[in-house]
Amino acid sequence: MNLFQFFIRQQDFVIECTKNTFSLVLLSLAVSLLVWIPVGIMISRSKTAASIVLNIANIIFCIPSLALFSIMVTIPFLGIGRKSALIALVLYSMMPMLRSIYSGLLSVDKNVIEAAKGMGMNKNKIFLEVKLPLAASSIFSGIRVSIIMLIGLSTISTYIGEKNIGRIISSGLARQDIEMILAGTLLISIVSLTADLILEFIEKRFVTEY
Amino acid sequence: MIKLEDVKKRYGENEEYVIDGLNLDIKEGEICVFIGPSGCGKSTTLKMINRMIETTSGEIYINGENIKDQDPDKLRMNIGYVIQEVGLLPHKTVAENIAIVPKLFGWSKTEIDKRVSELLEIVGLDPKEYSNKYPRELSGGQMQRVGVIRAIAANPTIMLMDEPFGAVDPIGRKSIQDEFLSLQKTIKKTICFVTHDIDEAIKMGDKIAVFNEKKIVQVDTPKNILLNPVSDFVKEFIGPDRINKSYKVICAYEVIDYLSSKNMIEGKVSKYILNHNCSVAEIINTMISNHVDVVSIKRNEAIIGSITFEKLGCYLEHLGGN
Repeated sequence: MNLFQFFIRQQDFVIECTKNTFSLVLLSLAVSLLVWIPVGIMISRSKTAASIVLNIANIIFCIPSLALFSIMVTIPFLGIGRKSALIALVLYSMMPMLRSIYSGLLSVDKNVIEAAKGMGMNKNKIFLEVKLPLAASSIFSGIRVSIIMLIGLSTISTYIGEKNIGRIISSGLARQDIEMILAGTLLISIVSLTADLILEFIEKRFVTEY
Repeated sequence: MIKLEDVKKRYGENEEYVIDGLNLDIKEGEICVFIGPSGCGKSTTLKMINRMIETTSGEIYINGENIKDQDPDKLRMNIGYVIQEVGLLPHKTVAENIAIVPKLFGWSKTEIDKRVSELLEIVGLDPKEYSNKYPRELSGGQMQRVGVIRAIAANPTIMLMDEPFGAVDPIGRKSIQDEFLSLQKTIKKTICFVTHDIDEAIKMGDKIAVFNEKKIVQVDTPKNILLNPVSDFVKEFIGPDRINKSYKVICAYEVIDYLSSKNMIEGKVSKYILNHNCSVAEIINTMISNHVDVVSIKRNEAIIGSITFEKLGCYLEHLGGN
């Protein structure tokens, strides 16, 4: 009951924080897709490039989030704020996205590609009509993991100035306000679970595994 | 139709040749079977014909045109290609799979639909039932049939078949071979057919090219390969029962011709009459299952002679002597 009252009382603050969470997640998702899909496709053509790039992605992924967000702030021109948060999130999604695109494209049945080539399909046609559709389910599952991860990590960016749902939790912690802490955790969990449900629905409805 | 001239292949400057000087001439409408132990280069040779693998040196001509002068994708569109694993696109329906090459040629939708139904009917798959199925819903034999009709969809004159029936179970294989041979009677494609199964080679081939150690060691009709192997390798490869195998490829009229030349032809007419192009195996079967020792052979409804069990024995002895 108290929790409900908290949402009524702090309505404007909660709405602003939620909006910021959504905008940051969507923005970082858009940038990630724009950057990592082409990179993923490129590395699928060269084993050496793939191993270098995937290793870098792996190292970045291993850096604890608070540390990575904080390092961004120390880089000139980035500083406190959205730019740093955005870049850190895009870097985090590098690993799950690249790995799923790379392994999805590489796991397409060699015989199917050989048959397509043998029938006279050119490289572009084989990529668009054979490889990409057959890798779609793997690519989508990578994107799904990335989205859930971005939602979770976005809360940490409150420490470098983002005013999002993470702020509700961190303020609650600072004030030892249990209601506030609970409200923040509940909210971010609902966002995350809802996103996952929607993604699961999309995956079942539109993405077929072959 | 297809001509290979001193074709060689190696995968690097300092590597050994995997194909070392092939010469082969395949005539129009002929099935030429490539056979040999694994690693002998038969598949590699096949793939050089549609440039899935490029030759290192030597020339390959199709209809007198050097394949090097053609765009590889265009070249492949004009050659039917069937592989053991079939390689149907799993995300496309049976109809869409068959339509791939016609689409590349830019056929209209009505033309394509008509062709797809026609082809499905040829291999005994009801177009209404199968057009919209996905490959995973088909049995192994059905997949291979779709693989074959997909390859002939746009009416190529040449087909390359790389162990096309190797993954089908033995019973299914026999019927798909029979079906394909009867189909070939109407489509008359020029076919290169890779197999490692000598019985399949004898059955399917108008001509067999035996590969060994990066080269073709003998090219001839199935009968001549069986009866006159040029080397110990070929003899061994065909197996010890080569004379028995030859019974399936020797025709009745050949026996009659031989017996006539030796004045051993039997005068009396049997009530068991077989066609002049039936095989020696069929003659023996007829004799055994009907408990008779003479059958007559007809050509165009006229009896051309009779063969007794004893005289057939003389002929077969003469074969074995070779």
